[in-house]
Amino acid sequence: MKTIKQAALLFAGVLASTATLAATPVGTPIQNTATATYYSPSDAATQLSVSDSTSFIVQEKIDVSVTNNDSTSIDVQAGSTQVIEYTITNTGNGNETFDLTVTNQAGDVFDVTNVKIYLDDGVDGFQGTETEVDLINLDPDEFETIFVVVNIPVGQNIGDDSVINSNVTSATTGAASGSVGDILSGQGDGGTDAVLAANAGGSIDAVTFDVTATAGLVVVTKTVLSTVHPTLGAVKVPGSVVTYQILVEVTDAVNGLNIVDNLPANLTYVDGSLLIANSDLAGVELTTSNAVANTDSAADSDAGRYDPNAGTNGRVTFVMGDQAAAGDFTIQFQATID
Amino acid sequence: MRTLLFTLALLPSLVFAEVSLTTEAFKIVPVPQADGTVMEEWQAPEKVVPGDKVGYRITYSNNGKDAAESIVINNPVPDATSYIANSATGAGSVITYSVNGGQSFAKASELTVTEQGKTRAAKAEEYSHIRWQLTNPVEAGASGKVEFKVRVN
Repeated sequence: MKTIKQAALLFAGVLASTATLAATPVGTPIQNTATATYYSPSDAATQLSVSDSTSFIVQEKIDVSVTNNDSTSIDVQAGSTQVIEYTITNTGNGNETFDLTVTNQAGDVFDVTNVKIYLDDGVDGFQGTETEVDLINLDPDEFETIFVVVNIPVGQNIGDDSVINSNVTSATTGAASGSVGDILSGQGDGGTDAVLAANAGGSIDAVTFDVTATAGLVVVTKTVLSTVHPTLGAVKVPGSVVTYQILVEVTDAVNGLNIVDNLPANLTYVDGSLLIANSDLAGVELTTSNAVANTDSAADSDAGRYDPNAGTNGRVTFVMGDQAAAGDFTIQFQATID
Repeated sequence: MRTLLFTLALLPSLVFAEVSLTTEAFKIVPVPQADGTVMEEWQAPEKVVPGDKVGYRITYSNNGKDAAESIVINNPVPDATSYIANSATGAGSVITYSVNGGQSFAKASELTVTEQGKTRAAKAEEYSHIRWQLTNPVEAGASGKVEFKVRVN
């Protein structure tokens, strides 16, 4: 058994040396043996001498790289939702869990709101249906894409700026407060020591949002409040119910306002799930106690309606009509994953 | 019976030249000096992680009673490490390298690698073996050392 294990480790070592980017896995023994040949004139023979082999064990290096796939300076419109895509790569040589945090920097003009981090689901780009995460576990050389999603408040003016800092920090005890070269005794994989490399104690990417346009008359922000399966809990599988929320922020008087939302493919609208509140309740589940239920019918006096034949997969519409002044609305409906 | 025992007792002295080798590994740590320069210190190989430099020292000694000639020391570059260019040293020796698993050896400037039909100079991290050919015999009781450095992949 031991021999097989050692052979496997040696094989891994050979692979690592051919692919120069791969870090040698934690726990790998590195052995060295020298040999010498020499001629002994007095007994007229060539002799061979072999040294004892020296060996040491590779310890865990904690390292991470964070790449901002978008930009570190983004021009934004007040009231918009901004998505920044990051690739996070475990550049160490052991399995590692990293904490993900985003903080608003102090001293800038405004703070972004509704900050969330999502794990890419493999579908190209950010859809809003991805899973929210606050930590990520990566094997050596494994990488994942995450989305940092923030809202720019409706009331910001041109010239306002906000800076956020995205931090990826090893969750190993002592790593967050450590500095480069620190040794975390016994904290490596398999009881090895962990050594903090350049980016282990938190890799920070700062992004500046510059407001270059004020909010439109109406700002609409759609989010997924929850995805719940009746028996399996908060998972996205066929049968799970997705609760969508649309925050409507009217910034000035506007006439003939319609809010229209076409359902994406592979979803079936949940009959009778329309709710509307006359305030900003984004992030709070709407019920008949904090909001008003609307029927699916277009024939009645309420604003909400659902038309299964509109769009490619049905359409939710709220006919808001004339708005005399600024105000917020929160709309909610549900759909089932087919 | 008595004669046989006597012969056996004499056997060790029949070895005229006997070269033994020891190899030691060190973690190479850059230590800033008071004058602002950085010196490399060779320390015990603890807490070695990928990217670290490791130094190897091979000590040879002739424990026999006669000189040993034509000493050639061979050392494969350890698995999971890459040889650091120009790091092999050894007083009174010709140092050559192999890029084909020890089948042939040449000086660093003469080593080539063929890739997709084209031949180019070999990179240090492609070396598979290091060889020291000592130019002079090593007298009985004499010893010496050769060294090289690698980086852990």
